[in-house]
Amino acid sequence: MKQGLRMANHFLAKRLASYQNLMFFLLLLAVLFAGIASMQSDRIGYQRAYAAWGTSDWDSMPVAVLEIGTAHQTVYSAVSYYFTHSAEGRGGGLLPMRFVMQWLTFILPIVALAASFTSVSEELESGVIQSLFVLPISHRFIGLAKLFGESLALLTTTLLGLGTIALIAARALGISWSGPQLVRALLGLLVVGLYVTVFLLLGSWISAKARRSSKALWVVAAVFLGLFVLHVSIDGVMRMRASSLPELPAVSSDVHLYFAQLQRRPVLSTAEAPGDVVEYLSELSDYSAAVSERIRAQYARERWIGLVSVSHLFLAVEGELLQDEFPSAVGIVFREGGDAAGGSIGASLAAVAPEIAWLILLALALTLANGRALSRLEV
Amino acid sequence: MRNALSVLANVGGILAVTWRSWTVALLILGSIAIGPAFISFQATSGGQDTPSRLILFEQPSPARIAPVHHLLESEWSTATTSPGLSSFFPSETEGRNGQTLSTRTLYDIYRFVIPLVMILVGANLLPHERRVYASLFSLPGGRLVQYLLHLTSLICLVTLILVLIFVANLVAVSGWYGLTTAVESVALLVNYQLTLLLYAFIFAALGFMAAVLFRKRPTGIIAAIVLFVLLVAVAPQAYLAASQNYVRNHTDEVHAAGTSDVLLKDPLFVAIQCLSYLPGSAVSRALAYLPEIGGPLEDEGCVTCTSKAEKHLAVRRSCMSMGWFSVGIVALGGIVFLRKEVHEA
Repeated sequence: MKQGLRMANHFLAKRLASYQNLMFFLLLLAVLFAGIASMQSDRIGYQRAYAAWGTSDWDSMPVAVLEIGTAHQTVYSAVSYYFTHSAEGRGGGLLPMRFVMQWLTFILPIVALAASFTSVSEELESGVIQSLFVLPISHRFIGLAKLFGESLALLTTTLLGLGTIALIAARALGISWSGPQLVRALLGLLVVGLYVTVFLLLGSWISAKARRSSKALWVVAAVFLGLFVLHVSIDGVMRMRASSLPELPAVSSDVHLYFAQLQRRPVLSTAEAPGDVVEYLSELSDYSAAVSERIRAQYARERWIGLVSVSHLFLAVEGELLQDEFPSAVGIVFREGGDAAGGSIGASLAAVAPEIAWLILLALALTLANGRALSRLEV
Repeated sequence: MRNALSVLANVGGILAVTWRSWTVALLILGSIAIGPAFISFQATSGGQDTPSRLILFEQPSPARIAPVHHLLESEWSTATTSPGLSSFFPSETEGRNGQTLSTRTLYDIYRFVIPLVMILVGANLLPHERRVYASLFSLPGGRLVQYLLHLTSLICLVTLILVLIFVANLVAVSGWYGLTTAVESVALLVNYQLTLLLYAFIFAALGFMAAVLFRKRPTGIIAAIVLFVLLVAVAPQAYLAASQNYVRNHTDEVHAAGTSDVLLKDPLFVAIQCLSYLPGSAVSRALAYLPEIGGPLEDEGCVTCTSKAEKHLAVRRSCMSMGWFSVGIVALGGIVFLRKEVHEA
């Protein structure tokens, strides 16, 4: 056990001090910078625009115009839209994190696979593993200690690096964080770590099975292309069709005129709206209720996609964790004005517990597969 | 003549070695298959005919809806390309450049997939074995000749991949909309593809340079991916955020200036403009304007729209900036290749 820990410690230090790790850190830094800079810029822009209207009671998302995608995509975009279009900076630092996660969905797998596809094959080719296997420890134990050390190094880089930089950047840009938001961000980062680990384990397993780096490289390239194609194909198949959604009510000329007057004179009292306007607003409510029902039903069905597509699973989990307004993110679809119930961390975790459990199961299965492959490795 | 034949033979030799790599073959096949698969998928699902917006709002109140009421009434601007190409090119409502990893159009997929594939192809041009460099550098002609030969091979390979993508897409489109539409749009497609070629070459050269620079192949690949993320994602975002911020903080100067030429005296403005000429932003601009220049519709009576002459200029500047960028990468790659230490390799 002691020897195993020393070995894991050796691989941890080796990986932490490697160029690969430095590159990975730079990559996270770059993506985070892009997320924070652009989202903060957007949010300030909208806040100033709303302030220019002179309406002090601006909440968020009076009207959101979104691309139609899958129900999960629509909900993810709607929550981000809601945070961006808020006068009082809803979401705090969770908004840039939401942006960052969309990029990391594909960047993390390719980096983790690229970092691990030679982990066993290169050592077989260079003869290092032959020397290691002379030690009086089982092959499986040596391999798992190596995997543990390397996974821990990537996790450390992800959690400490990304977390620290996010906090510093948020401080510098004046983005506020509440305690629960920080906890949510940390949970989001832990899921990032789990996601990276799954692909790191997959890359190592491919490396052990392929035995040659050149073969392992094309297999991991195929895995990544497969992941991307699967994601795009599922999005295409599951995309909600406009024909299946209710039609927006038509606007009569009287209603149009009334809104145009309001646009010119925002202080005009709206207490005594004409009958046509009241009727139009009632039709809008019916429309929203129908849209909500449709999206909620599909949102529940789409959760099963996570069984076959890890990238969808990752985005679904992050979509729930990186919002603090609703018990479940799908609540965004027909939010009662000023009556947002607010979501507790426990409720969000409960909502994504099956997805997280599936991710952990995948990591465990890949660890076992690695142990098995390494114990049977012929040198 | 003999020299030309010799160069061809050498290039053929390099490509023959590269082609034997399963990784390269797989990446090429994957990049070729994506376009036809996407087009066929759209054709069968009828996705191109459906409007793509969804309006959500909170419990409506007139005061809140009024200022943004135009959003409820306005229609998406119609694409100015011929219908057969609507799936190829982005409309004006595609959303912000680089905001999300959108996979809604083929253009979005290519903007992301082509650089990634090219980086990996470039990184795999040479078998990554210690003895390869020693053999290469001992060949007659020296390192410079070997570098030029590899560069030529890379250009040939990238061109071949882009031509294959072009043909595959053309076949898929003509099967979908009829040959007439496809033939009418050939000039547009050629321009589009040439711009993509330049974009693709930049990343292939980057991948090649990273593979030569780093002793370990995974490190080289990750370094190339970092550069890819910086150029394709971070730089366009930084440009967008910086330019929005600049306009907000210098509103009076921007209004007073009228044209951007006046603002060129401000170093900050120049720095932000430079960001917009990096490959990620440049290719987005060029590919967005190309179909509009070649499209049948004019924005008649629109005073705020960019004119065709301005679009022409923007496309030309974008392509020139990508050209200069690729020259820079080739020069840097040359330095790395020429200074490579054989015993280290």
